[in-house]
Amino acid sequence: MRELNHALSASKSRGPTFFCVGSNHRTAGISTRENFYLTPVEINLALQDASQRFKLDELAILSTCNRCEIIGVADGPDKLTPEFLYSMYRHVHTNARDQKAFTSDSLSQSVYILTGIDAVRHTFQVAASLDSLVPGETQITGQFKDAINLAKNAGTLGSMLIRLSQEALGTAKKIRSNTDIGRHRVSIAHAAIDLARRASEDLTSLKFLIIGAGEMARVAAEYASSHRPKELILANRTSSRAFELCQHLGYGESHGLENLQNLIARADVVITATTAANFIIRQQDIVNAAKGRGDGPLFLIDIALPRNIEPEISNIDDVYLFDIDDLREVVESHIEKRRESLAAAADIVSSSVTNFEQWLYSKDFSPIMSATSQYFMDLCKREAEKTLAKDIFSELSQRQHEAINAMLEAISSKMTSDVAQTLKKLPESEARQLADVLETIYKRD
Amino acid sequence: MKAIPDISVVISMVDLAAFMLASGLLVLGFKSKKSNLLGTRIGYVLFAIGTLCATVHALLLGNSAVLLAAALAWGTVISWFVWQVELVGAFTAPVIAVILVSGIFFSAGGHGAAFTESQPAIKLHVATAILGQSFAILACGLSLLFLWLDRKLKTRQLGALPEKFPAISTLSRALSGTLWIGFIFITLSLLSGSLFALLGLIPAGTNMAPKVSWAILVWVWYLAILVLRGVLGYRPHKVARMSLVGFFLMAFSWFGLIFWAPWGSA
Repeated sequence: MRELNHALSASKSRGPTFFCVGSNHRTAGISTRENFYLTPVEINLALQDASQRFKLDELAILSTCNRCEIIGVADGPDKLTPEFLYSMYRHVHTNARDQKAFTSDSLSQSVYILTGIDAVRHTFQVAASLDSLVPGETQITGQFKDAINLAKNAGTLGSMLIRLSQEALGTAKKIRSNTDIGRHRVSIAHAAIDLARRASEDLTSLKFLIIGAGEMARVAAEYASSHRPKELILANRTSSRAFELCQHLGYGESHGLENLQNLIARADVVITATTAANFIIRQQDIVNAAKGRGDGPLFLIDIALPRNIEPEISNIDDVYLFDIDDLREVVESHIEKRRESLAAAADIVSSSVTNFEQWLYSKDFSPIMSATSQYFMDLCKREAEKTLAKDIFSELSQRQHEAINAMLEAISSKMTSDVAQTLKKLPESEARQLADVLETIYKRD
Repeated sequence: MKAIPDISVVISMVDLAAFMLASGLLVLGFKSKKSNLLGTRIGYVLFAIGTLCATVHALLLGNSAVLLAAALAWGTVISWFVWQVELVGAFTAPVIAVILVSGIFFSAGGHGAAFTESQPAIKLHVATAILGQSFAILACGLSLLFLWLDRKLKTRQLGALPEKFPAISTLSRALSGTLWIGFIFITLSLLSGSLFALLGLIPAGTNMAPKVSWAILVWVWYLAILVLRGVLGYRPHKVARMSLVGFFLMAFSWFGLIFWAPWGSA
């Protein structure tokens, strides 16, 4: 680990250096973040403009409702002063939005700057949704991919950012597979269906009635149908909309609200998500429906605002009523459970950062190795030309010439390989000294 | 002849240790928010080892406490496999450990002759009685779990519910099942006791009238629960409350058995 830290400090002193300058939900309020938000078109223009103006070949911008970050690679750390990075961040936003320039004070309060391996670690954490408002949400990984694609289209994606994004996405996938961070659902509609597990662990044995055909009802119906419940009944005041939702799901049956009591009598779990201004299920409806029901529990989950179910219903035996506030508690507890997985996820990020550092370390020597290789090749070629020009070799055939050249190439490759192997085997400080010697001898310009 | 008591002592120590350790691990496992913990799995293995040892212990030299512990352990295993109520293990393992400890004290005090030394008729009668009691204990555990869950759901304290807590319909189903099985064994116990007494197979000893009267009262109570549930459609939470009362009636007769009734007068 110490060796890697040395490699890092060495890479900081000379090689390409990653940076990240941005603001997020922790550092900026919504009114500030609104000003920082960039559309894909604005990002495309900003990337091309900033790349030329600030002489940076590799740049990407990640802009979501919770963050706007510029990720890039500079030739070395010397360039990456706070003034330079703030200036770039300010330029990107003022140029794109024609807004008043942000003051240095406002930027230093809401914009953070990370360079070197800190920027790498942060990027990994962002892509894996560890830095999100709701840890483990999957949207950010897609947004990160989009940011990389935008950089590609703008011509500001190079080998370093490609490698960074590959490692970041690989880490995100590993975290999702090996921890519980994405296991607990955090949307109200999903939580409503998950709550039905308190009625029966086996959702395929339950009969769901979902009332409404709006966004919340659609999400709930999609999630419910993915579990293939015993029955999925979709009901809406306009029955054609319920029918359309049924068609979309390819599962369940659709109804209007005319025979609501009968539909409730058939259900184990009723989810309401309509925009009705008044209660659509009243105590008497449940009392009447109970006559036609078996003796299993009835779960009523009201995810509408204003509420669709009369609160007094909860006084009826074996009827369990929940509203959006109760589900919000569940969602918050799920978020808390996700946060508990952060430690395990952080270990995976650390391991990935270590691998990335190793890659940077090996990459750090690649310029000197290619210079060494080139030097050996040129040397062999020069000496071969000089020697073969002598009279005693004038009788050599073309094939013999080719054979000698091949032999010299092989010698050159072998010498380069021996040097590379030696560099790998040596401790970092000695490798660094050897690299300096090689650079002095073989690097020409 | 001396080998059997030695083995019995070893087995009794193993089953007690297994249930005590299983109690801790299962309770911790279900309090934890994580699922499939190694500790919980070890707890299940220990529970299984304890169940086997308690069974052997009961067959070799069982007193009423060991028999009850073994029966309760088997009832728990059945509830795992039939109703998938794993949580009940966290409730029954400590109860079984307490019963086994109480068995050691009562044996040391000379209470409870060996089951193996009893006549076959008495064995049958005692076995059915103890199976009935074990399922009454199981029903009590399930009732407590059901009522606790019912309260949490009614008061919407969703955050307070452990992740692996069984669903309310599962608990309701398991409760009905255990009540039925328990009732069948209690009935068989009463029938066998009456029949064997009439045939003179059970020796006349202490005054049996209070005990028999109490047993009939317990039987009537459980019968009432099943009739109210099956015929009049009593809701599960009422059944759960009634089964708690049934357990206390049963417990009275159980303590009576341990304190005042050696096998010969069971």
